[in-house]
Amino acid sequence: MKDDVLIFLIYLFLLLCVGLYFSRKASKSPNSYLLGDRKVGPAVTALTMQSTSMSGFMFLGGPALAFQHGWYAMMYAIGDAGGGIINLSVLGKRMRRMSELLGALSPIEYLEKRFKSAAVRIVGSIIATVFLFAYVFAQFLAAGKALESLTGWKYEWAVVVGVGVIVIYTVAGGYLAVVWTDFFQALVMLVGVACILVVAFVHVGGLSGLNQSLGEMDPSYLSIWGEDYIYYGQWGVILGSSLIYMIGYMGLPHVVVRHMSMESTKTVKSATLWSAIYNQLFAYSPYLLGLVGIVLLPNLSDPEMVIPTLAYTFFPGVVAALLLSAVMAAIMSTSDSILMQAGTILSRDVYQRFINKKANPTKMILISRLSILFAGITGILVAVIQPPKVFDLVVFAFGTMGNSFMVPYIAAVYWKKANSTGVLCSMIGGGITNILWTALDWQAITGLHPFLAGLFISVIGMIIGNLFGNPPTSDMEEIFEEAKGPRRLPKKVEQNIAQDIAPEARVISDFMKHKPSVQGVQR
Amino acid sequence: MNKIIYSENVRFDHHELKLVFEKTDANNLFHVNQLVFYPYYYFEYKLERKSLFHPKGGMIGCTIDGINGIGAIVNTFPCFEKQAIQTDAIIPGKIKSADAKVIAKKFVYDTISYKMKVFSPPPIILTMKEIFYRPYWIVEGGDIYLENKFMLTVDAVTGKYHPL
Repeated sequence: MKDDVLIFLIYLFLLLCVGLYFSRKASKSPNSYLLGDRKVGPAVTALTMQSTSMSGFMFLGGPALAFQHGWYAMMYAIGDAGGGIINLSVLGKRMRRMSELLGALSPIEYLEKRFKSAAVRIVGSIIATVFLFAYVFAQFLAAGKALESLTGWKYEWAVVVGVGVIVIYTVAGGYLAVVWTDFFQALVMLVGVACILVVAFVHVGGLSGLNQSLGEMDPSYLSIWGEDYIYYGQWGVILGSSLIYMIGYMGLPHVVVRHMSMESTKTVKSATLWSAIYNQLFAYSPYLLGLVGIVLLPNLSDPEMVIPTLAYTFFPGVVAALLLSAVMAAIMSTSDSILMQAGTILSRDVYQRFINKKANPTKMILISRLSILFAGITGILVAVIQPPKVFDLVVFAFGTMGNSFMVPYIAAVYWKKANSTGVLCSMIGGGITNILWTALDWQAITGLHPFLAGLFISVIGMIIGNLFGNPPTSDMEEIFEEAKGPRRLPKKVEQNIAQDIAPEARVISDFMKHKPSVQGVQR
Repeated sequence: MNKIIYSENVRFDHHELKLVFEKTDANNLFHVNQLVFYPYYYFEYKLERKSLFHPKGGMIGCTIDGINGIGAIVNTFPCFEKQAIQTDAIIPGKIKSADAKVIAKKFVYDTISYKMKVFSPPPIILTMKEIFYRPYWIVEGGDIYLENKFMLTVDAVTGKYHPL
């Protein structure tokens, strides 16, 4: 067996060990299996969120885009770099609080309980299941393709081995196995891409040398308008390219579930810092490698192979294999999260909600495991039988989910009067718009990116739909207020706070929560 | 149901407090209507050896927070008064008397060593021990539209406050 194949096998074995390590802990309760007991700390939250968000697209589709269009692709990188920070800052604290107040274990259940509507859950489950599966198929396909090219295995075997490992550790270890392997894989991604980028820059004479070479080859590579200025003046396309990743993550169920599993609202601040550092170090690198590919690999037939080809060009086989574990890490860290979420939705939002409402916790864990296994096996079969292009499928699924769920998730915590009719209009309108825009290529006619078009319709649907239907109940308004967290004090009052009585204040606060009716002595 | 406890006297009544807050921030309304009683231990010690700072030996008093176990040196002897208070307004203590005594002794020793800059603090003799309660007001504030509400707790003896 070749050394580089052995390295991949050891890597996969390590991931399996992590999954099996968490299998016992995950079996305690549905909360443990599906959300890790809501005890995930800041570093793990941040890095699992990033590695989940940044899929195989970052190592295959992203560099290919840069290879084809030059600096225009950096608009996607800018979105990627800011995505995690915006996601945590906008939704983090409020979604964490509200999901716990509502007792929701899945992001779709969360929407149903927030808007008190079974229809929201049905529509949400359908959209999420269809597109999460589409997304997972694309990831499995990427996993097979990457493993095939890196090991020389037959594609079918590459899918079965690579994806089989993901399915096993996700089924066994549940959410905790997913977030901890993601954490580990985020580090692998960073180290792998950083090493390749450093050597690549040495070869092209740094950023200045790279730009000089690009300019000499084709000046349009240096513009934000794409190769041959194909998107010249189309700000709708340029902005949409950034926005899709900058705010689109807030609509992905398998990403926003990270807010629900954080240890506390205090986790958000540190997690944002971790995200910010990680993103600035990582997000631009794959795209920069795509640009390096234009200069160093002008005859490359498959643009998606820019990073693997550069790795094998710069490093000996074993080292390249070690660094290219990063490609597998990116694909696997996204695949396991989507698989986990698809299984959660099938078990929690379909089985327990509509088939067996009284299922006990042990049965629910079993059903969750079987659902993930079912999703995994289906994914393997689809990836083996019908392999479409990775990039198209990911952007299609990503955009549709982003347009369907982003506005409802934001409205759930920022618009007290938001109701279920508005949410349904927003989900359906946003999703359908994205599908039509992508399928019929309306971007070419309108100059508007599908994500931006879907976002407009989703917002309009939310506002207009909200005029109809029942307003939220008073208890939901109270929960909404509570989820906003402690109020900010007026400035003049805040100036004179006595910090030395903070310990007493904490105790009194607890006392008041548990005995709200205390009257004390009137003076 | 009432319980007889030693409590410090309220120095800031609810009218006074309301006026102070509304003067501080005229844009908000304040409601001061609840008192809760927070447990502390009071320990008083006699310093055996005379020093530069206490030529006559002197006394030193400290309080120990009955829940967090945090110590504080007192400048003046607190005035306690026996009062009948509703039990649901009294916060139950968590630190036992014996544990509080150990914490207090260590705290006083540490403070003397730190303040007097001596390696060997003078022996101290416990002269008084009491459990008492300090009244804290619960103040609710908010704008006139009843949005952006917030809660404060105010030490009814010193007037210090902290958000809840």
